[in-house]
Amino acid sequence: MDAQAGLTFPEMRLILDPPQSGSWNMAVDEMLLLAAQVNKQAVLRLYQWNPATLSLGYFQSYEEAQNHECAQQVPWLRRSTGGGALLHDQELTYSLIFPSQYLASQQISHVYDLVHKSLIDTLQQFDIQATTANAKQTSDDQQNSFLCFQRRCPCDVVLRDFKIAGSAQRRCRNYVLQHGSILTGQSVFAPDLPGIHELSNSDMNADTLQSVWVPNLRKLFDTVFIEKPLTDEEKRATTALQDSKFKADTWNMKR
Amino acid sequence: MNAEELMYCPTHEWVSTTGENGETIATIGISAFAVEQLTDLVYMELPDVGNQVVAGQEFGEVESVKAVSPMYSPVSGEVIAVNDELTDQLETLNDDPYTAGWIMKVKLSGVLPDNLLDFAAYQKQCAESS
Repeated sequence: MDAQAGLTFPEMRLILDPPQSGSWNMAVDEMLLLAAQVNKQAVLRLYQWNPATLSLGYFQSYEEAQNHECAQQVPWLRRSTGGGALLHDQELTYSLIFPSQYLASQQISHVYDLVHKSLIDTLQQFDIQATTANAKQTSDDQQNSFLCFQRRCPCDVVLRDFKIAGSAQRRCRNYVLQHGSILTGQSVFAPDLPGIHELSNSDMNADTLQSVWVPNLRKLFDTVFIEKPLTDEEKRATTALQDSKFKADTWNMKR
Repeated sequence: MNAEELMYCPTHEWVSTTGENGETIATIGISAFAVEQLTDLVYMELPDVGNQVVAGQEFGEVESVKAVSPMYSPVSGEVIAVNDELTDQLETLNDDPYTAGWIMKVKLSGVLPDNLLDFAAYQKQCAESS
């Protein structure tokens, strides 16, 4: 099967957001996922984080975060997607919201692979030779690491044996939210994790990567991007989700 | 249980019913096709005994390959048992999804919904989506 078949959209909404807080970013993604059930719109959003934020994977334990140095230094919250904890600082984040019937295959990793291949191709335009991970070379300890970027799965993107990008999903009845982080630079809060900037000795940053990747993503999805920031109504819905969920202990400390 | 004798949701949950003391008890799990598509299951969240579940609504969640997916109840009623051992032994779902891999038992509050698929119809749906 052609890997690209089945994930093309006649039209996609494109949102290029400025750096925002973690709770706002997660609430926007959830608001867009909920809205997609009604407006049937595929969305690509690219964003950054300010301040640096630690996000737990949906099933991770809040107590585990308390024992980690990162959680003492930056705000933290729980994502609705799976995987390990992420320290969002010097990174470009994408979220992709799409109807599940667009999938040629229901295999989850199919869409990870598509986006990551586009990222690898984009980095090659900067003469940066990233590849997908060889998960067989990793130990059980690595697979169970608290931080996602110390784990490996075969679809992750690595550069000089360091993971630089990974993605995760939240599936609803008819729509999927996939978001992923591309570590463009090392964070002072996670000094063990170099980013593309350090690993390639380049001046790579999130804005530079975004400017080149967006046209490549348009080709990947064979689509027309309609750039449209959040409306006032969407901002109100996002604020409500931010307050009721991503800033709330009932969500962040649910396990 | 024999997969060919079960009923299925379009969302890949299976259900089997028995009569006990005048009540209808449904045993519910997820299909071998769903387990295969999800690949490596790492977490599962189950409902509590005593919870009410509603046909077509979420009753739990699973994580696989960093994706969190809901599980939908095929029936409405009260949860009277959950397979607690499953959450620590998710490989059971790969080995035996229709017997040892049962997820919950529900005392039905009504009749079985009419949108459930028999084995042949469910197999046809799986073939069309893969």
